[in-house]
Amino acid sequence: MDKHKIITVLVIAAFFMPIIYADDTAGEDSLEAKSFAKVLGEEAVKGISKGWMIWMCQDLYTFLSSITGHLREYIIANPPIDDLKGVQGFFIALMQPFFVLGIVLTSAYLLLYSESPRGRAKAKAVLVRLVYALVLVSLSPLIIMLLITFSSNLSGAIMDYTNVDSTSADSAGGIIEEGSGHMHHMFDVLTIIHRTGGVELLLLWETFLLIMNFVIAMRYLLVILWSIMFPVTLLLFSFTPTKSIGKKFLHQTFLWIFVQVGWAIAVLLIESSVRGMDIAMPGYPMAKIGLACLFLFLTTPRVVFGLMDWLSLGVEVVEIVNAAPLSMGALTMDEMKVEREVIVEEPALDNL
Amino acid sequence: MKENRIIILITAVALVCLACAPFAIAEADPLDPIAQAAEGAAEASAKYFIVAIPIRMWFQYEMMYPWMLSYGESFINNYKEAILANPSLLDSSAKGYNPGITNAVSYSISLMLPFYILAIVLTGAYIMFISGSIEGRVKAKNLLKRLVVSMIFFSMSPLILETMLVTSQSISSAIINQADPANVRMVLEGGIWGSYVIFCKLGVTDLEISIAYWTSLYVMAWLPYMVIGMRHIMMCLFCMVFPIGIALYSFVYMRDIGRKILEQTIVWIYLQAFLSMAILVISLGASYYYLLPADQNPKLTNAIMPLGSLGESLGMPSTGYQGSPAYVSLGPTSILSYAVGSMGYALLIAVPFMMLRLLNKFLP
Repeated sequence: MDKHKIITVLVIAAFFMPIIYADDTAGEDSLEAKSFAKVLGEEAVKGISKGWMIWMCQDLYTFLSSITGHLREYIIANPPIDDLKGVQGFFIALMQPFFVLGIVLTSAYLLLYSESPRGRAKAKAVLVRLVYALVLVSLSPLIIMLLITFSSNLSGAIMDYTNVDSTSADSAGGIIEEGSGHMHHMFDVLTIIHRTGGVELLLLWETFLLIMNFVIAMRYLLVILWSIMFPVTLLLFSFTPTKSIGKKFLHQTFLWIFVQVGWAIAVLLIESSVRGMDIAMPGYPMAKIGLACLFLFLTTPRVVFGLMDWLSLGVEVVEIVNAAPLSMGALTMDEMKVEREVIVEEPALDNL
Repeated sequence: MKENRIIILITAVALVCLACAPFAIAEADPLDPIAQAAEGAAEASAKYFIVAIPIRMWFQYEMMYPWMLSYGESFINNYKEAILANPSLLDSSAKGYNPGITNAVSYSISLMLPFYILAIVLTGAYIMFISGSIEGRVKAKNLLKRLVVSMIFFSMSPLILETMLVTSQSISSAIINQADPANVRMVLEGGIWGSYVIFCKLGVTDLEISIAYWTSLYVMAWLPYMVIGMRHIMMCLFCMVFPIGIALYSFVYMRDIGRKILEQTIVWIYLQAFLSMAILVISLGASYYYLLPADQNPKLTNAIMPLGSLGESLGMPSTGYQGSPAYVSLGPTSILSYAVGSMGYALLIAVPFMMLRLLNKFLP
């Protein structure tokens, strides 16, 4: 028999000993045993209440930790492109008057008001940028579709090298489940000892698993937000005064779309680093490693935002497109400085 | 199957309690350990099953359920009106007309007007009498020009503010009308009722372990209103100081302060459009429900729901105090509806702050 089971049987037997003793020997001496029997009756009912509490929390745990069994579906989840297209069309229609106004005003300036070559060059640069932005805005549903599909496929391809689809103990889901399950088990044990003994642990695993569910849902909503705002982002990016805002928006769009790649890498990292650890280091508390993996998964968006600044390359690409050959002349003009040195008069030739 | 097991368990516990009751009522024999144990069990059962659980259930169903129907559903029923509400500065027949703000804006104008006059007079005097160098005169003339232009905008500030408020409302209205109200309701209800189901499930065994979900009910019901209210208050504040912002913006040394005031005014006014966009995102977020096939989408039922079925079979009245249900058969909540609904509320709360962080230093 298992060591723990023997201890449990002995403890239960020790509890029942006074009752057996009291039943055998009637008399004044057994009064203490009788009151103990009363306490035992009370504790039995309390045990039922604790058991009920554990049962309810077990249901909640199964509910919240279900994410670990569907990690691939959650990670590659993206909003349907067709839903986004309709709303993007609305924003494109909303932006068009601003573009038309911008182009008309700039053209009017070029035709009627501009006097200096510098002013004309600047106006031409603005006009070219506006035209490019207009083309990009019209293509924005396609660009978003491209980005989302690319990100989703890339994440899927990375996860193809993992065991994420199975629920085995060495899959990322299994490892995370082990970590949270360990806390849940500790909660059960502490609750049996005292009703509120495990509340802190309950809050901890609840928080971890809730955040895991929430952060994926939040990314989903933010991808929708930045995708439908993409035409606005491009508009802001194409005007010089609002360029910095447009840049920030563009950055956010790229980051939130590509967070799923970060998660896919996290899954790969978890599996490749943890697999075989129990063989290499027998006796190592794997549940703690599972907790660390859970924490890594939660912090992945932060890591993506902090470290993967290479995603801003996308922003640079848009900038490069904006500064395409047509506007090159204007840019050269803008950068050009005509430096005129002080005229030094030639010495008089009086002495000749 | 599981629900049947719960019914069987609750019935068994109730029967044990009933069986123990005679021992509790009659004086238990102090020498009989079985009677003593039964007495202890009966007392504890009375405390737990007859007092504590009914009190919790009463709290959950008699107090919190009507609260959910009124406060909990309030934002879902009124989000459009709440988000689109704006004060009106000039149109006294408008719903949101607030003479307090109009008076404050007028006061700001009257406060700054003497400074403008003084600055124009002094600059004029400088040009006419003092300036010696050409450079000085050019600078003074530029300043004078800027002062005059700024004074025109300054005097027109109520009109500018009203225009911004009206355009913000029109854009927001156009955006929010793109959202499907049925989807918005479904997603937001998924969040708040999901929390309520978990709160009831855990809370009936112990209120302490359900505190997180209980708190989240208040957060979801109140925080969106608080954010909208904060926008309203901040917007009123910046509307009041808007003329001062224009004035400061026209002076070189005060330009930074003026820029900040003007930027904040613009951002707080147009936050309305971003809140509308959050509603539109929530509406589109309904597609998250179909992330997993229906049979793989984990669901959680309320613990008392089977008791509702039991109540029905025992012929208990279906309504209790103030028309609230005596027992509630809440539908199950799914992890997807709960997660996306909760994040829908979080988005409504986070979007203004996110935009405030991103939208700065955009004025020259």
